[in-house]
Amino acid sequence: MTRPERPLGEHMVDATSEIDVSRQWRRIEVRLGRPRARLRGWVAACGAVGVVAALVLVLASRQVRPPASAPIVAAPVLAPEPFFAEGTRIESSAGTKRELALPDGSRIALGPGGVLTLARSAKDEVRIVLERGSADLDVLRDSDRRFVVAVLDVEFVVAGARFVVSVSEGAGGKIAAAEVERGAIEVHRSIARSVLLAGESWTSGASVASAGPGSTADEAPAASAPRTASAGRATADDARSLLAVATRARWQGRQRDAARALDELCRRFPNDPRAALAAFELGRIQLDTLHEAGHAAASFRTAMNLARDPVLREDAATRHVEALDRSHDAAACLSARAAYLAEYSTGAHAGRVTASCRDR
Amino acid sequence: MLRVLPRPDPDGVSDAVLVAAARAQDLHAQEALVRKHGLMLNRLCFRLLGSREDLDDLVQETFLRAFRSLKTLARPEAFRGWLAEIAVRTAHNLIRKRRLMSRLGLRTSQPIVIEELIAPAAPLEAMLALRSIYRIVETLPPKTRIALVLRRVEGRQLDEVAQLMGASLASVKRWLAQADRALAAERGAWEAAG
Repeated sequence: MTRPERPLGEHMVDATSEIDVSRQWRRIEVRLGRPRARLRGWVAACGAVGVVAALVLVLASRQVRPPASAPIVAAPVLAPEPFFAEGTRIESSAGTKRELALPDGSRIALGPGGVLTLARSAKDEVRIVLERGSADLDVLRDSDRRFVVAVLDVEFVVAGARFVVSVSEGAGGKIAAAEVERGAIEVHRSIARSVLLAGESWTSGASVASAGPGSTADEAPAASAPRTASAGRATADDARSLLAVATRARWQGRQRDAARALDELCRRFPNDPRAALAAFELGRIQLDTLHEAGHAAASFRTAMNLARDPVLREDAATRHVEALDRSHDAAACLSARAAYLAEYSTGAHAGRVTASCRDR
Repeated sequence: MLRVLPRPDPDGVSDAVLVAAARAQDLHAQEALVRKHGLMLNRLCFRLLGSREDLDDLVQETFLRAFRSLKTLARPEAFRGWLAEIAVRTAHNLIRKRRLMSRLGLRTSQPIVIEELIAPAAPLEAMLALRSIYRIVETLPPKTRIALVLRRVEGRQLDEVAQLMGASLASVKRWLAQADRALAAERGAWEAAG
């Protein structure tokens, strides 16, 4: 067996955040059967230390002018407070942070000196407004709900991610910023949109400078992003380079550029072993991100034809049916469904495919 | 400008010190060990299970077993590896239990959603390898599955896999050969063509 240069696990999603670990610890603690009074005593002691530290800071600040961006001060981690009622406004004092829990289990750690409001708390939408400071959010995935964090005139729309947002004073006024630790978020500002992936950051000042007023989609992350190489359209002349271009574009949230590179790879190098997977990934981008179901169906069809890997071929056939279903092409959908079920009657996705092509 | 908010960071204290305190039922030391090794343990368990289903339970059970048997840990400085061994054993029991429950009709097995496992920015070659592995893991015997994930996904050396599983090197090689045959059957001529 060949051993990969980097463990494959490094390419898997990071399913857990430190907030999850905090939650797990609380349950472990309960199951260990320790008397709670001991913990309360410890928390009280830490709280007292925090109060003393805050007092020292306040006294010190009267003598020494603080730096423009005061460092965040470590604070004890307390049990999260429920953050359920619409209109609730939360403030954290200097030197302390507050941990908040939303009804669905999502968590927010409001940094010291921060202010945020739960502007809307409904089944279909949660809207949080950060007025001051920074917040570390761990938002659970819920496809039926829109989760929005509004900071100044920017909206961060979240499907399920761990990220930090902040508002701070800059030379030209207030600046909104975000940094994604896990998952992805969309940045909406006026009619401009961009996607931030894990490891990328965004600041409103840099973005305004780089985004024209007509930018409507696929705006690149700001110059502060760690992965913001300027490569754009696919100019590579071999399959491997095209894959590299596509991968880099996907990192940067430039899904159209990624799609172009993958499309070019499939057309120019159909016999390359990577072509089938490239076609499959192209279909995924077209269906899930660009919402071009017709094009996606064609890409999945290409993947089915090119794939020598039976697993990939079955997955492509499944997504092919899904794309036709979403493109409202009933006849083609039924035909593709019948073909799938004839070939993979006990396939991994048979149930999902059987449920496709229903009358809407 | 942006920094993740600081948390109590026990990294400055060695495992040996924390374990010694945890043995004395020091709650703060136990919490420090959870915070220090929690992310590593979650990653390992997530890879072994292939989903978030039962992930919290597996992580909690692993830490509980570790804290309850801390006195048996001969080398406190080796807490991290010892914890991983407990996680592997606990995961093995959980996977066996799941299979039994499914066979008895007491549990509806949830298929692994491969697309939710793979990072969006993963190279395509890695995506393909992960897809192949997680498509077959549910069909493999538990020990074969665990050996495959530890070796191919975690990238552990053979002797590490043997130690984590409490098995001989020969057994690990046998399980990996079985996993390779299953992978080859699924992938057909793909690897040869690639």
